Amino acid sequence: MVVAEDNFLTSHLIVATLEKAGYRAVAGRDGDEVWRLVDRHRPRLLIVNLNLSRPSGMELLRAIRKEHVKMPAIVFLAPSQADLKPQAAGLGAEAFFESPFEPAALVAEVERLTGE
Amino acid sequence: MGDLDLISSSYALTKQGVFYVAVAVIVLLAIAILLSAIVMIHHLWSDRDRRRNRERFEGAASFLAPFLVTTDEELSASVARARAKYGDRAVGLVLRRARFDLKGEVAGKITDCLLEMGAIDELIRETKSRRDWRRVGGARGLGECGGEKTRAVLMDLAMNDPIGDVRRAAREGLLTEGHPQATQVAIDSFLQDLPRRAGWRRSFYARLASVSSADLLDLIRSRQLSSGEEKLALEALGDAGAIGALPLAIAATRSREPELRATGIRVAGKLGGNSEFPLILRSLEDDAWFVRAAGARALEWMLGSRRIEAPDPDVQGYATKLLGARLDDGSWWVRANAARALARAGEEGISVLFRAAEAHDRYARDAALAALAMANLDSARQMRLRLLAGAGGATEAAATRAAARAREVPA
Repeated sequence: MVVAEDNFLTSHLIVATLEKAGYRAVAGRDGDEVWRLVDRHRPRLLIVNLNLSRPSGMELLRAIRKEHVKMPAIVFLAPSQADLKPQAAGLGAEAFFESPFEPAALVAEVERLTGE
Repeated sequence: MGDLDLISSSYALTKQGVFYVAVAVIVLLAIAILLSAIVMIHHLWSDRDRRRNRERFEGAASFLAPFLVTTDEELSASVARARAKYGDRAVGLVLRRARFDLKGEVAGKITDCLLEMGAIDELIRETKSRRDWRRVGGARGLGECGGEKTRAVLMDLAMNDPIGDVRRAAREGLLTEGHPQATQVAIDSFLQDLPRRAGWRRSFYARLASVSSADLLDLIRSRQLSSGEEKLALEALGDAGAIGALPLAIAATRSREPELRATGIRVAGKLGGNSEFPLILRSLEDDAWFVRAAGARALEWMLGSRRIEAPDPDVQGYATKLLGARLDDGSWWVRANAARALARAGEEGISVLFRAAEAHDRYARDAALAALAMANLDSARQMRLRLLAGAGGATEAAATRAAARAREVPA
């Protein structure tokens, strides 16, 4: 799976959480890098922070949705961004997390969405 | 002779003047070059420091991340190795930020490591500084650390520090864990000096709603908040998904104050079930445009991400009809929100949007095209949308603008 997160530590924490659970994960720190990773790895799941820059997390979801219609996404957002959930849901977001997150809860959600 | 002496002495004076001016210019130039060199050296030095600190932070983060997200491995041994390699400062910062990003059992383990390495004691010393900015930094740092020892210091700062920024940083820190006593002190401190900026107040309510929605509900019920504050608090509870706030939201929809009605409708859309449909549908016919806009937005949430269906097909049909009628509302927000809600209202909603996109009413057409541009359509419908958008010339630009605006600003 591909993690789109521009915060260095948070992206490492998410990738480490997924790798500990036995998944393969790579992280991109801006929209262009994530786009390349998605094209190369064709992941089954995308984890994206809505606060991503260049382009924004929402723009990235929209662009990826156009190319990879069936790819589900887990979205990280701030508590004040809750009103963006419907829009993100329309673009493939299946689950939402706010910081701070519990690693076990993230793994459980990934298991649910990937069926593993 | 006298004239000649005068000329030669004035010539000598002029020559001396030029000499002094030249010396002054040279001295000033030398000072400027020296200052520039000092600034450049300082810049290079601090840039090198920043780069080195960043490299250390990133190295420590990469090294520690796998040990931070699990409880089954020895974190303190890894922290000791990281301290030897990357230094205390970088490791302390990684642990604090990770403690702020994570919750649950792993977070407690990180706090123990911060205590063990003395990072918490160092921050406590900073909170005792006479310099305000150091106390603010100390309070912020302690807020990231969690734990009992930091809580006692933060509670004292939140209530007693003479500087507002320190009290605010301490309050935010107290809300990270949701400890009952710490939460209560944060609320008392907040009420004691209600921040001027609405953004800070909104941020406080959002944090409080996410860590202890029951405390925020009690605060609203206690009537200590003004009507304006009550709206902010209620919105925060809606965003946090605090179902206990639904009765308050429903009561707010009956308020005589339109802004409170709009808040009630928005929160009911975030928390309510299909029994709240009639209430929200009624709001689409409210006299105030922002209540109608809130009603359309609430339906978008319910039909979209929350996937709540109307109690029966008749109500669903009525909802689609009402939303369709709002496509030619006098307010841009109502039209845009109604169109987006229709995009979530299944086949019937999409059909209404396509009919509006072909209509003569330019406002309804723009709203419909913007919503359709963001909807999930099959390839045939996408082609139809492209044809419709292209047919109008200026309409396509309007639709693009509308789509961009709809992405940016919520009702």
